Amino acid sequence: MSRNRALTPGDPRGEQPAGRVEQRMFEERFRLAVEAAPAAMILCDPGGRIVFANRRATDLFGWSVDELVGSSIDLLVPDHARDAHAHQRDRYVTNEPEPRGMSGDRHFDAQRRDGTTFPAEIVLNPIPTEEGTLVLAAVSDITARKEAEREAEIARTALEEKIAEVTRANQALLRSNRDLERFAYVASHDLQEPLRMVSSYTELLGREYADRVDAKGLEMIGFAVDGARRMKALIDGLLEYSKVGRGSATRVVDGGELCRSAVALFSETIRTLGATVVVRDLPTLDANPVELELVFRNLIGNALKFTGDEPPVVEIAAARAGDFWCFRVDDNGIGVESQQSDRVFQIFQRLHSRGRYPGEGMGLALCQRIVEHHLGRIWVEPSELGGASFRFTLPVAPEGAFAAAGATHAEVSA
Amino acid sequence: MIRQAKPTVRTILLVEDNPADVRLIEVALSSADAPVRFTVAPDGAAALRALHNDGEYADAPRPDLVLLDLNVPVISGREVLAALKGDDALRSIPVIVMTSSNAPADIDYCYQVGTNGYVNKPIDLDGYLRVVRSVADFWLSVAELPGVA
Repeated sequence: MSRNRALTPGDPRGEQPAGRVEQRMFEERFRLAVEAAPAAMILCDPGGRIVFANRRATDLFGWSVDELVGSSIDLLVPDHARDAHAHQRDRYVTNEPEPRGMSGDRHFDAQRRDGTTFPAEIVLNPIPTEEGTLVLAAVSDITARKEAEREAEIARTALEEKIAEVTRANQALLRSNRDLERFAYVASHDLQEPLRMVSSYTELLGREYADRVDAKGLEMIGFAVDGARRMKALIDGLLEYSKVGRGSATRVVDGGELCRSAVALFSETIRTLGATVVVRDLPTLDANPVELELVFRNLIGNALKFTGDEPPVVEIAAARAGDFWCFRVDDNGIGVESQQSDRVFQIFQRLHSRGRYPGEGMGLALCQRIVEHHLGRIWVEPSELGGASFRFTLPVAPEGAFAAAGATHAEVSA
Repeated sequence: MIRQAKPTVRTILLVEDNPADVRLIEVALSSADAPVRFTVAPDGAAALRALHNDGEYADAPRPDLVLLDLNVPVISGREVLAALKGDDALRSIPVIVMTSSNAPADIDYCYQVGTNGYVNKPIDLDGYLRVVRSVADFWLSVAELPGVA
């Protein structure tokens, strides 16, 4: 190409091309190879003057080949980087140049004809010639890559912030939960003391001054004693509530066995009411046995408490639903109205007068806390038996747990 | 129950900051098997002074039994117990911890440092009176007690 200066590539071993024809052919092959390269290629002499540029270089920089050839490479370097670039170029040509990239961790800007700049990746190749070492630079516009890197960085930062935020929220929640548990525990413990005094002394008053207090006075003392007793029940409930999840860990438990032992606690009531309690097949679970028994006890106790006119019928059963067992405690009692179905689980909430159905409104709140601590959930719906159907889910025990359960059963039967 | 022909008056050191509890214990022991005299220490430091006949307790008799509430001011019941059981001259005095805490850590600690018993204060009056009376009856009437070391 006439517009490009003639090349006289040297051979490292000092051999020269034989004649003009051979040199022409060599130049032509070089030109074709460089023209076909996928990057913008620019060849410079040792002084930094451009001696050759391919079509991609003209596309990339906006200068024609004629304009590029003969110009200083500084033409393609932004003003602010010119000194540094010149310095680096000097070092490169004087220090036994090796092929190398210029991008690496160094940010390198190139400048187009219109003055705009773009981040460039530049690979340098030294070409030894008679006239000194020429430098062939392959230039790629890495705007897209930089942009992608920047976006990835922004996304990463955003993700890290999100993680930190979630971690903080989680820690705050843990702390608040712990504080709440400690508060309930300490409050219940410390409240017991003055309460003990109130109940002891009102009782003592009623006992020791019975002959000097009239019936009305004794009734008042009775109310005070009763109040203290109820308060004690509330505090005990709160203490129990705050203890959920603090006690022993879970183990493999026989749901049927737990349920039957809970039913046995009500044998007297069942006989008195003429109630029928049916416990269907229940699964083996990975659960805290003390807490799970409390759930059965409360739900069965409620079923036997909130009864209608018919003799009570209670049925306890479970069915597998994916990774959970779904338990149900059905009864033919007075049921729970659908608009009350959330309220029944709130602590100290009572839906009925104390005279008709005694209690502190603690049982279902406790059940909910226990079930949720076991990663299940609890709700109530109308029962086919006519009353309420309390449903709760508990995770299916992991595979390995059943082998342990088998061993336990073997020991028991031995 | 072994009854002595002429019951000797027994002394209880009551480490208790709540006067209402002191009164209840007195009520409970008014009908105890052995006649009982009380020395009351309203905090842990007072308890140690009473045990060493210091200050206002210069004339206090050596107790036959210590009823110790863990939750007392100045010096805690735990420290009083450890000091008493770590002292050669006092170690032989039976100590019953009477407290509203049933925390396993408290129970373990107290037996570890040598308490002779640990009982919870029942919340109901009758239960409370019964517990105090049975503790006093066992330690002051049934059990043989050591002489002064």
